[in-house]
Amino acid sequence: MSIAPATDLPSGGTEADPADRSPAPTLASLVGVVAQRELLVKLRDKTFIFSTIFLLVMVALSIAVPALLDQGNPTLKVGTVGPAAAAVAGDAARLGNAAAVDDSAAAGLDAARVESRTFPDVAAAEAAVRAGSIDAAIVPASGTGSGAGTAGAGLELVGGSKVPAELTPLVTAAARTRALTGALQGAGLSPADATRALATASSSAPAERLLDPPAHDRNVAFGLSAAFAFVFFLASFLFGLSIAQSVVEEKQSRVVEILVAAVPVRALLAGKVAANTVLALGQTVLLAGVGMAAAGLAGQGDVIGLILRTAGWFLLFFVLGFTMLATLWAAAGAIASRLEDLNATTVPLQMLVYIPFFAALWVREPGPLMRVLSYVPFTAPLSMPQRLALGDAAWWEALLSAAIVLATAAALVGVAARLYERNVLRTAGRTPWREAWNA
Amino acid sequence: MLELIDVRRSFGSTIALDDISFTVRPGRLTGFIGANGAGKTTTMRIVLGVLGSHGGDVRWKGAHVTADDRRRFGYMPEERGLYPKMPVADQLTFFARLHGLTATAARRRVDELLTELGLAERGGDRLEKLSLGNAQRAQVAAALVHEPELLVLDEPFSGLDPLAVDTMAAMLRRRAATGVPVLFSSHQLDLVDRLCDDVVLINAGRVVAAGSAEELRATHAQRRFRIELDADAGWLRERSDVRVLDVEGPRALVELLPGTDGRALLAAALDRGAVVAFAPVVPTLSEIFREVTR
Repeated sequence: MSIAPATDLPSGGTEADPADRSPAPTLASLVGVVAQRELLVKLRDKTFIFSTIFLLVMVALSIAVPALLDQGNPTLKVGTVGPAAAAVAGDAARLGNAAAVDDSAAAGLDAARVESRTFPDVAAAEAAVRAGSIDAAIVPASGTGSGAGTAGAGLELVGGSKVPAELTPLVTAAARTRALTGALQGAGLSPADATRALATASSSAPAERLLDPPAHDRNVAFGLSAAFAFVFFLASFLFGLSIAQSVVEEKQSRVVEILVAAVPVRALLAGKVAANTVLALGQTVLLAGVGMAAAGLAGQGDVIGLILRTAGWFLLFFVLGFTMLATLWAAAGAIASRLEDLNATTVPLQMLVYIPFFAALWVREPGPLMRVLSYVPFTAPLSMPQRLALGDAAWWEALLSAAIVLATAAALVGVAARLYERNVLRTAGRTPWREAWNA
Repeated sequence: MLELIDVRRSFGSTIALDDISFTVRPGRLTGFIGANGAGKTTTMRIVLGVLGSHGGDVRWKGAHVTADDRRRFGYMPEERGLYPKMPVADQLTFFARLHGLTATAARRRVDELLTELGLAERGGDRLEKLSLGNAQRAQVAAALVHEPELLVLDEPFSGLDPLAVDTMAAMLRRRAATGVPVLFSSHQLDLVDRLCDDVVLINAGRVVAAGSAEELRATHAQRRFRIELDADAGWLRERSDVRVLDVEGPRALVELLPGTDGRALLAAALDRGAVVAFAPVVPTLSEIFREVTR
């Protein structure tokens, strides 16, 4: 290879094929390149994958298990002595099944499966109750002969230490209906007329009408708000910390100097924030999806409906709230020199995550305090969706609050960019926030 | 051509760079020499835009340097470091793309470069798995991956074994031969002496000498003579037109003071006896460096 005299060479020397270069990469495309790396690194990170799977399993279990435990209608084993008792038990079983199918048909009775078996005498039935092989027994009341008197009258419901709560109303209703039918027939009505009269009687019970009906089941709304708060808390903490770590790792490994020589610091900052917002949002949507699937399987359709109605707002506030803090997490990383410093430099951020979370858990009832919290930038991402879930806020209130969060986010991006730019090349020790600002 | 014109920078009340001016010419290796804390790294960081200047100008191809220009510069910082947990080829592709290469061009370039540097087999390995020597090569690759139009390397030879020094030197020569201006700093003055076309000497934030290495040597050579007599040369100390750098029996190393030439000195020596040798000394860069920073 010959070395030509310098004067003969074009000033730029040989260059890469011009087609290889995008003419002037835009800031957005550089942000994309940075974000893509962050995403790939995170998605290949085993710790991240396992923690995500773990979270998904926890959410599915926490929704499905209690629901499944709660769901099965109780099966009640009842022993009977004598035909009257057997007839009442049969009616009770029909009522229990009817309640499982349709609430209104059974006038507030609990759904239950009633299984009955006959015993030859009271002593045998009582022995079975004591042994626990049946829950209760319907027997002729002591002093009356088996099958004697009016049908249904003179029966006893015998339990061990107690009679199952669902059983008493069913048996009582069955016995009463039987007694009434007998009385009506005794008064001269045909069996069909007697049945019709009874049906009229039960449908004449007054229907409920509420003057101030809650928009949704409040308990479900409370539960959902708490779940939102927890998901937001977890995501902003974990992914915020991940942003800070990613920044400080670049400082610690010294690669940052190559990066800032190649691209504007803002592109690095924006790329990291974008990637982690996408990941946080993706994980949250995944969690919500698994949660809804689990709720669906567990037969809690009303929860799904409420999630779908409020999810849009929640996601909007999630993105705004997350971005608002994300740039500050990056700044917290930039003023640390080593991973160990993060414990100290992220303290203000931890406060900004903890305090709104606990505020959202403590202030559960709509009122002036919740209204204020729903407009304070840092608590708004939690408290405004909470109010929306409770049916306590109008859409324009939500938009106003979103605008406040957005404005705060924009201001904080400026603050964070300054801290990041001025400190990302400092590698000697941890910088106090004040000094970092003036650096 | 890269030009620095009166570049200033201070940190608090400390003036780190005091009107730094020099040029880095295309196709030439320019050695940047100075003691620790003289301002080499600060200067290089300002060239790359990693650090702002407080005055003066950095010019590239005759105009104020822009961010787009800088994206086509290659930089190897003094503090080495890449992503420890990322595969080598992946991170080089990432750097290439940050420097504006398209995704396909970046991948092709990384393949070529890894082959050139003998790392083709290691592309899929995470950086932390590489030996120290291979990690150094990956670091060089990060500076070269986008075919830079200007190369700035901060202490590229530090920590290299003699074989790696030769490889690195050859690599820098190759880049310079394609017309790329190359600026590198070094403590190893003998190496710079052997390698450089141009030299910039910096001391306490000021350029104390700059220019082609040959000219620099020639300028300083005119003033320094090695003298060997047939008797003790101690009398040289008495003379007012020279500064004696060293005397050992009949041999002496002297430097002519400004405004004199060697004729009077030679005449005086001949008066006292035979003169075995009277020769100008071509100084090494380290000697020049010691002299100008004294």
